[in-house]
Amino acid sequence: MIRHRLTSDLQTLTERVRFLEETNQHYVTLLDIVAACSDFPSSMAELLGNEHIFQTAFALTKRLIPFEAMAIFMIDDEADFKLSWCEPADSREQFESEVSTAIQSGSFSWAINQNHPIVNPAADPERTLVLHVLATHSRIRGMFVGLLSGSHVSLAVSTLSALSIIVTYTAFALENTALYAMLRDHLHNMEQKVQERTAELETARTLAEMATKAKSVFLATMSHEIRTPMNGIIGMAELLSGTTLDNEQQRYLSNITISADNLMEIINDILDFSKIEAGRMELATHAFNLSDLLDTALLPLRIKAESGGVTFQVNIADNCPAVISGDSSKLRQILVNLVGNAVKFTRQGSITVHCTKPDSPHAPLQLLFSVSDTGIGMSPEVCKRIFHPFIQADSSTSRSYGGTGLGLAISRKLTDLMGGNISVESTPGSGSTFSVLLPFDIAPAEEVTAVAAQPGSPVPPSAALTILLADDVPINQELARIILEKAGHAVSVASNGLEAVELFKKGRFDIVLMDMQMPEMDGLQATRAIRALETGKGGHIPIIAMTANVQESDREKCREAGMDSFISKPLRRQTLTEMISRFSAKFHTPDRPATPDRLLKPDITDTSDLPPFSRNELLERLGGSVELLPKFIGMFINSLSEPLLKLTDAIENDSHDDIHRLAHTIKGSAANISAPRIMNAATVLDDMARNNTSRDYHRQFHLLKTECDTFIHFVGDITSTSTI
Amino acid sequence: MPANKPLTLEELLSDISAVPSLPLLYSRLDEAINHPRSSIGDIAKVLSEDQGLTARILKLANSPLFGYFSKIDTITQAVTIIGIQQVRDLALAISVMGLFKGIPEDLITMERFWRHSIGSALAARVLATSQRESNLERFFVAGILHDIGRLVLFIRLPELCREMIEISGKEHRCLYEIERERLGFDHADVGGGLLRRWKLPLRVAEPVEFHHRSNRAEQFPRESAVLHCANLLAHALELGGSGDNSVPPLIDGSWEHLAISPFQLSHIVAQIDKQLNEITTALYGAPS
Repeated sequence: MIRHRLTSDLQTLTERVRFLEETNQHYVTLLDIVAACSDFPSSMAELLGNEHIFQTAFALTKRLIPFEAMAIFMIDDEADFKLSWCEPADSREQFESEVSTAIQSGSFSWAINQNHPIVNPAADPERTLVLHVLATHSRIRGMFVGLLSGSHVSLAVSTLSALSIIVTYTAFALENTALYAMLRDHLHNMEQKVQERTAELETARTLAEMATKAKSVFLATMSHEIRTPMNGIIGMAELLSGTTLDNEQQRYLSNITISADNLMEIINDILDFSKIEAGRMELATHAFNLSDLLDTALLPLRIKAESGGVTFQVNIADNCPAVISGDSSKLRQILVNLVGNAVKFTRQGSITVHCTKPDSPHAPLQLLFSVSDTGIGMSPEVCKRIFHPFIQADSSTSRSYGGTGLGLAISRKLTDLMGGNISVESTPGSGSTFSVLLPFDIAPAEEVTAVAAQPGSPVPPSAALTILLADDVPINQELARIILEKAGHAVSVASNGLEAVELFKKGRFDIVLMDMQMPEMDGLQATRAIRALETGKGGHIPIIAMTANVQESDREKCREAGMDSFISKPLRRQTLTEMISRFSAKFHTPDRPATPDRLLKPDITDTSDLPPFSRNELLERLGGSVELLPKFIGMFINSLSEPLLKLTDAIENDSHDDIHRLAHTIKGSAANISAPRIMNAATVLDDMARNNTSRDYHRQFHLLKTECDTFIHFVGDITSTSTI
Repeated sequence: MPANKPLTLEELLSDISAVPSLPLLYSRLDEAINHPRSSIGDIAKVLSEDQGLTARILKLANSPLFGYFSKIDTITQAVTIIGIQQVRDLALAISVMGLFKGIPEDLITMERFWRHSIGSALAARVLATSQRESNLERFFVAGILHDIGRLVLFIRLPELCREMIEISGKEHRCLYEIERERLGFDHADVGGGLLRRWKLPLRVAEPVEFHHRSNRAEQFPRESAVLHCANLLAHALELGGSGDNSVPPLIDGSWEHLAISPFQLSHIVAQIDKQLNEITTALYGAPS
């Protein structure tokens, strides 16, 4: 009994031990197979392709479950499952029919969404079909299909989890391969894209550079092209004003002139602004006389202000050097802008321009210019934005006062460019003060002397010269020719540089006026050609450039080519004649014989081609007593002040008789002293009063005053040189 | 009940007379699945021994939880179609639900308790689906079992539980906080301890133990976070109850861990609502 029980216990224990050993063996095998999943080498797989992965998977699976045949269906681009690999190779048809049955029954689609093996009877009644999806966390890649002999019910379950592990590893290995291939494609594509982009960018850069260049050329051409017709309009209007016109025509003409001047100003503003924006504005450095600059630059504005009854004052503090070094034209532009605004917005009261040197002993030279007015003023908000381009105090300002709204923006940009700063203080209703602080250099001693020695404006009249004029634009030719011929010069015209050189070879000329931009041969080339000819035969003819380009670099080019000076377009009669006079003075004595007829002819408005004073004529009248000249001139100057003062009142009161009487007095004494320009101006005023037709007294009166000033300046030079 | 002598977790669980042990059938099923030589047929045979269990498994297998395209008639089919591991987890859930009896109805009704558990289980399963987890039934069973510790407390310490529920209601505090104050541990610790004693896989036991502090889970933080959020969803949707009437606070980072867009939430809730009644009937209702 006991023995029997012992035998039974022993059997049970033996059985239990065998079970445990078997289980142990089983798990060891499973672990071994699972560990072998590291046989899926991704780098190798990449080289060898998916087949290598399939083979590894099948080899591992066979150790686990005795499949008769195995296959892998991969998802293709159209999301269809396609048989990619099977073992043995001749089982392909069998798999395709089994899978098609499983798809129809629905178990295939069920298996796609399960993460465990789906075990079903196969279509072949002798066999079992095992389906296991090949999926990673991110996507389904295909289906593992295995065929077993025998009924599915008898399939051992403990290996099924291990099958899941192998299949999942296979899926990851396949995914790695696919991702690796994708990455490589991407890298390749990216490289290609980078190359394409680089090429595109290169093209875009070239295009952009070309566009910038084209813009610069356009800008330069525009400034030429716009100024050329404007040159014609302004110049011809000026010439027209010198002809006999009735009052109505004169009024129309004066409107044309004002409009053309305004348009020119706007165009210049816009071109200047574009130049500054494009960084094409350059700074020049030269010595100049501060007081002269302020006087000449602000003269037209002073006249405008005073004619409107506004007091105009310019104060230069004693601590300011007389001659400084810097860019005078930029300073002029800034001040003209500021003072122009002051004049525009001030109806009564005063405008004061003040220049001081702030106390800063060690700092480089700085000058503070302030422009104060008693005009309409601005609110603090307006002050903040007034320096922005195209901005005016408000939109109604442009309607009431005109302008582009660029003036202050340009002034600010110019100030910045020069390394200074600009600011404004203003009270609405009581006026504004603009302050500009600009750095300058102290002019070297020799330049100070040179500036001081320069002939002031106006310049003595020149002798009759033979002038070679080169310009391709007919209206410019015409304009310059008329101005020059009216001044008594002989003019030969060339339409391009080549013609100019030819004419120069044949004739004898005193001065050459050379346009810069011409067909065939431009002004610079022509100048070089002329200078080359001169080196052969000697001599140096003054060549004056006529240019719309006022850039310092352009001027530098002119100098390099051998030009002596330049005159900016559009041509102004006064500047042109002055320029000619300046050069003629170098090879002619100042007291050339003048034609009495010409001088005495009461040319109504055109006075600028007459000298302010005819010394010889007066000397003749005085019987050659040179020593009497200062006395008579002094008497004449003294006699002017009283009638001029009275004229101011008379014009204010619109008293025609008084105007007539006073103008007549001045006319008479001017004729006696041989001051034809004063005489003409007074005659016009006299006529106006007598005919009682014109109300343009203010303008003419200022012209008369200007002529008086010109005379005084002029005789100052003459008497000083001739008495010594 | 000696109130002055604090009870340890070990003492609480070691009372064999009051704390149920795992049903014998489940242990046999587990052994059959692990046996190297057992076949699908062997497993089906073990399951078939319990007619009630078989009926409930088939009911579940044919429920929208799985959505199989045709009817599953036999347990063999259920095993091959749903999966062996999955069937084992379902069998565990069903077996455990019949274990706890004699809980005072004023503390909790079983119907209410299991409705909360099934709600959490469905939520866990749906959340796990969104995480592409491979064995969804493991999350499902963890949901069923997550508050099982409270049943042990209700059986072992009914008076204390009554008191703690009262305090929780009055002070508007979570019951598990009061449990910790009074006992030094909470129902999650009890549940975890029980599942360990039953030798259930740690993958289920740990999330149950840490479902109120999923950030502390060491081995299965992902599973713990899913269960934590699922429990919250069931509370928020007021699916049944577990004695605790307040919604526990969300642990920082646990929802972010799941990376579920707030826009998906309504879809998730709709899925839970759709399945709750049918699954409750299948698991808890009278076996047909």
